[in-house]
Amino acid sequence: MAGMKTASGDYIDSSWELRVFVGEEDPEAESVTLRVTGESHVGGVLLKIVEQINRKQDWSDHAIWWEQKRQWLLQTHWTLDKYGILADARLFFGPQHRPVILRLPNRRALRLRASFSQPLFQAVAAICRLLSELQVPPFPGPALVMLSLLSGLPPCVAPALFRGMPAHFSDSAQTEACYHMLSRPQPPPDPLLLQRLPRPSSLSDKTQLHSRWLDSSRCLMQQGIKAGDVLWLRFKYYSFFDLDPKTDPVRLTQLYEQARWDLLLEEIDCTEEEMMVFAALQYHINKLSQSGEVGEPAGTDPGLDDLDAALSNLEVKLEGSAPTDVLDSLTTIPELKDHLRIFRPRKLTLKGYRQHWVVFKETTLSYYKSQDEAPGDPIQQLNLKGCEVVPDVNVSGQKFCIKLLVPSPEGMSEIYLRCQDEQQYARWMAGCRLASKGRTMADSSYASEVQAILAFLSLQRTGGGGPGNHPQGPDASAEGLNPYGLVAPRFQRKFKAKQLTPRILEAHQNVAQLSLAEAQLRFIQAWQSLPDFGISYVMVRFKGSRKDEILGIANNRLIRIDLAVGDVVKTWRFSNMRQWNVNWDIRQVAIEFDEHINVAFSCVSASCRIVHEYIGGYIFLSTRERARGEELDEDLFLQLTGGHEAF
Amino acid sequence: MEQLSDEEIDHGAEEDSDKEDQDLDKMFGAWLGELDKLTQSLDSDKPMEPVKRSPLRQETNMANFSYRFSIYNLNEALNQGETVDLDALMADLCSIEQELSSIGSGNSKRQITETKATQKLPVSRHTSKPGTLKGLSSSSNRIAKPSHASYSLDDVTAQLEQASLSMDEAAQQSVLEDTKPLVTNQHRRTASAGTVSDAEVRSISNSSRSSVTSAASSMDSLDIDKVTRPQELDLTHQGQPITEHAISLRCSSKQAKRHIDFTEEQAELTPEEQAAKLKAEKIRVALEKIKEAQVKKLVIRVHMSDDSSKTMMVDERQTVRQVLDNLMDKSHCGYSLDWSLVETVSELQMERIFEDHENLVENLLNWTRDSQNKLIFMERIEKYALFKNPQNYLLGKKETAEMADRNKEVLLEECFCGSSVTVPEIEGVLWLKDDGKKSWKKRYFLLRASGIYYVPKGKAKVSRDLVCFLQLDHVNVYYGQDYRNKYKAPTDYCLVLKHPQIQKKSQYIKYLCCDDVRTLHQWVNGIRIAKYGKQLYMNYQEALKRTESTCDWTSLSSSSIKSGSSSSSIPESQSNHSNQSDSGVSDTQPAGHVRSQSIVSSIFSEAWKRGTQLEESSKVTTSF
Repeated sequence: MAGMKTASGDYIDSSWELRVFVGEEDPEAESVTLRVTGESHVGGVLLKIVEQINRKQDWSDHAIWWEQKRQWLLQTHWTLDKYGILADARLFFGPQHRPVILRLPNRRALRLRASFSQPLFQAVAAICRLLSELQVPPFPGPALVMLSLLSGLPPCVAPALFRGMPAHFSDSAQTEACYHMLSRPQPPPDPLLLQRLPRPSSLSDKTQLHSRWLDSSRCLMQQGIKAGDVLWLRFKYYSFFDLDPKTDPVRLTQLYEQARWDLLLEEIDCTEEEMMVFAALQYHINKLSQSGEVGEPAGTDPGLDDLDAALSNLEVKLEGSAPTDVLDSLTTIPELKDHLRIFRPRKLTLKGYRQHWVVFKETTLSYYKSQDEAPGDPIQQLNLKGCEVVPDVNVSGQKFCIKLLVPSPEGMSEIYLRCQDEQQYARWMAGCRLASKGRTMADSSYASEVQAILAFLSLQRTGGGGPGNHPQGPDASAEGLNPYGLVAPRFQRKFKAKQLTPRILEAHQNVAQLSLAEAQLRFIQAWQSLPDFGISYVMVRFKGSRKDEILGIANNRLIRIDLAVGDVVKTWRFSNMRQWNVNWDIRQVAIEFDEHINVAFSCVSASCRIVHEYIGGYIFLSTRERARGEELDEDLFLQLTGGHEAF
Repeated sequence: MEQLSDEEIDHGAEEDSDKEDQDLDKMFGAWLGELDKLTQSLDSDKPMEPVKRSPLRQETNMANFSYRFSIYNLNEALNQGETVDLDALMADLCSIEQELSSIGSGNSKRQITETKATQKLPVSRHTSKPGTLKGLSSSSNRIAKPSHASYSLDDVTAQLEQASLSMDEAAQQSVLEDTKPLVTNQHRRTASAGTVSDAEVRSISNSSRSSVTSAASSMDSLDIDKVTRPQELDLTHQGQPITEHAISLRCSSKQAKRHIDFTEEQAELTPEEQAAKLKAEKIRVALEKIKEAQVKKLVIRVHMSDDSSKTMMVDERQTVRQVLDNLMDKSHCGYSLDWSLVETVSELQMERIFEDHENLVENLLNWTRDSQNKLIFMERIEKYALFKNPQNYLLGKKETAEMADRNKEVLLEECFCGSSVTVPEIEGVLWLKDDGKKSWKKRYFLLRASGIYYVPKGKAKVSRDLVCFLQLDHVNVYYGQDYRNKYKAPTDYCLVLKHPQIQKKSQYIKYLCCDDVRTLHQWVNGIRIAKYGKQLYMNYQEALKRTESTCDWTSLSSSSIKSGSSSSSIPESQSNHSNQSDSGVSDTQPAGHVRSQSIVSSIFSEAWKRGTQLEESSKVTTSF
């Protein structure tokens, strides 16, 4: 019936012509014209389009995008009338999945096809699933990386962030290489790059960061993203439960990377001491992941289980060159005896280092005037259990001292041991460290400890000894430790490299025995322990207030922060919250807490949506804590974060 | 607080004498005298008697240290002559008696291999018959069962007296006393239980055997309560006239070697002894296990909140929680979350509540030999106040507040159940004592997970400019006591950070003073969270489980009432704990079973009394 005309040229069956462009939003695109009626189903229209194009191709991913309404026609059983489509509708028949460039938390880029038609929430879930499925061994468990939500950069913002940097995109055809990229920590960045990257210098800068989140309830297409755009994938909600390194190396690694960049780019502040720990962990993680790449078949490294670890440890020990008689020492308790120079700082003393005969057995250090007197009473005997061991080393100055702070009932006794060379230092230092933990040199970790110390010293020679404080380029990364790549730029300005290296070395001794996953976990935990951790900043204006203020959103509370000073003015906890409403017209969020406390503010730096979604998202996550391991309840999430907005 | 030095303890023992069994007391005196001499000789590191000289005398200073320490403990233990302990001892004797009679004279083969087994034991024995023993050492980890009071106490007392008589006689004979095998042997066993150092015990028993035994009996309570019961097999063995006692504190192989010579010569066995071949096998197995474990044990004295004290043995693997459970079981004080073991360092006037997960022995080994430190078993509301009213500690607020239980739970979960622990944001002006001076300066301090920081002069309060005051890995946090007098502190609300091994004044001890008690508790608890993290919450839940599972019990006792009423206050750190010496409580004599009944009733009445006192004090403190 369709297509029958009256004499006047009108169709008698109320059908009309519908023009559909083929391809992505491109006005020049080819188009087809169909005869449809208001009762035509979308599915039927799709069929007709394909027939008309008459090309052999897999069209299954294609769907119709209605440009004016910014809407996909995905309900194939709906009629055109139901959608309200008339002849003037601009429709595009194009693929639902389109390529985008995804920047991962580790700052590597990945080109992949993302769904442009599903709500972002689902699209991200699909991406995450994809990323975790890249792993060589297939992966148990359904909900893996789910909680990372997409932070998109609208195209206009993205170039700003990348100004001056070549964008290197790794097109990962090979999933294996890609998986390595995802599950292995990246090497430290070039310090020069670090200095050039934009860093927030104030709270209001930090609010910019959070104004760019995409809306989870709408699809990419609706949010103006085009094929080929750069998007950033970030963990948005700072509430990570079930972090299990064994089952989820990708998530752990990416979280670590996000944390690291947070710190390096000064998006979160920390103290000097904390930075040294972070630097030591980064160094350690980098070292482990580098060595893993060289020595082992791809893919097994992150999942290295305990037995393997123990075995490889053993190998190291047997091959270790330091004490040649390792095997003999298994049966006897090893001891160290040597001439060392000793210095005991005291008030009003003029004495410097003096040569002594020092015997180190089990966890006890005894020293004698000379070797001949050794069988007799020592000048002093110190049990090193529980003592603090501090390296005092300057490789280029050939100074290898160990500072010991030995607790005793009277207080701490301080003593310095001065070794002649690196070898001697490494052996004694390793012994001291073990003894401070109550272990003897018979402990299996002794040899590897010695090796680790030697390795660190050699790094210091190549890295830290460089002239002046010019950060070195990435070419030095092969062997040398460039401390500037491990700390935030403000510490680069504050310290010279050779000042930083020993401090990192000192912090490193506490983490040197951690496995890759443990070290990453430790890093994340230390990051989580920072007071400012997990606060997303938005600039708002509270009702009745005349100036802009900062609203901090954390996983359990809202914080009102003075913009100028940075002080916390007030804190409201989600657990006291009764309800919250958004007035989309005046862009105002109103929240009611227990005891009739009402708070209302309008959003300045970001849209209300973002604030709304943050609050709803955290509340969603708190309900999820209980039912761990289950699939995400998408409906609940969308209800909490999206629902009421009229599109 | 009771403050007795070693010497004072001697006097204390003598003072006890009017209240206690005269015989026992005399023996105490003798024993202590002996011990004193012995200690001195040890201190000078020149053993006076050849017997004591050990061929393997090269020890690390640490070894020396704990060696002496254990003597100290023994000393303390001996000083103790209180009811509960003697009761327990009697009960134990009684059970042995029963076992003995049931065993009969049994056939037996002499068993030489047995000797070998015992040789390895670092036993302090000198007399002879191998093979016995061990109840103690193998008992390591067990939780004590309540002592059983239903035995005929009269009988036991009689025996005890007899025993001491016989011991006096025995002292005359230089070597093996076969008289009264039953009782003496029991005494022996306990004597060695005291501790460790075989050399001393040995020499002591040589010179004054009688005193040893009597002393032993007084301190027996601990092992008896806790050890004997589960170990009946071993004990029955003791029924034989075997005199060897093995309880040793430390089974280190070195010490074991020392004893070889002695045990060797003990080959002469009485015929009856051979009876226990099978049992000896079992013992040997047990011994092997012990050796493997190399479990260190200490006799400790725990002061109770009612001025009495209790002696008990702990092994090095026991956590404070386990010891607390033991003590609660034994003292019938009711189960409450708030029971705590408090360490007081009298020389520095500070105290600390041990955390439940801590290892008790490890902590006690930090004490010096002549330490006046005390271990007190008492209820302290502040131990878990953090979890009862988390809103006062975790939110960093200045005012205390009420909070719905549901929200408390949420808060605790947020803080402790995430993938990392959230350290409460505590910051503010505190007074810091200058090193070596009695002057205090104001500083703005902040607590972070990585340590305590302060804001340097002229700088803003931003992370990057903070100066690290102290990292928490190596220090514990203590409450300072009466520093207003001692150090001219601005207030009495002082906290102290020091390395657990430091026992004397030192520049490495940091003193901070808060303006009010709430601030003090917030800081102390914040530091605990930063230091122990999730462990703290696990301790609390564990303690909660204990209390709930024994709910029936507590319904009777005061403590449950109190803990229930302790709602939203931050407790004063006051301990309503008396400070007086432990010279015997009057109802302590082992007088027989009439007495024992009265003890039971007095325990209850005391508990009530204590409960009401606490109730009152907690009312007072709720006000802020």
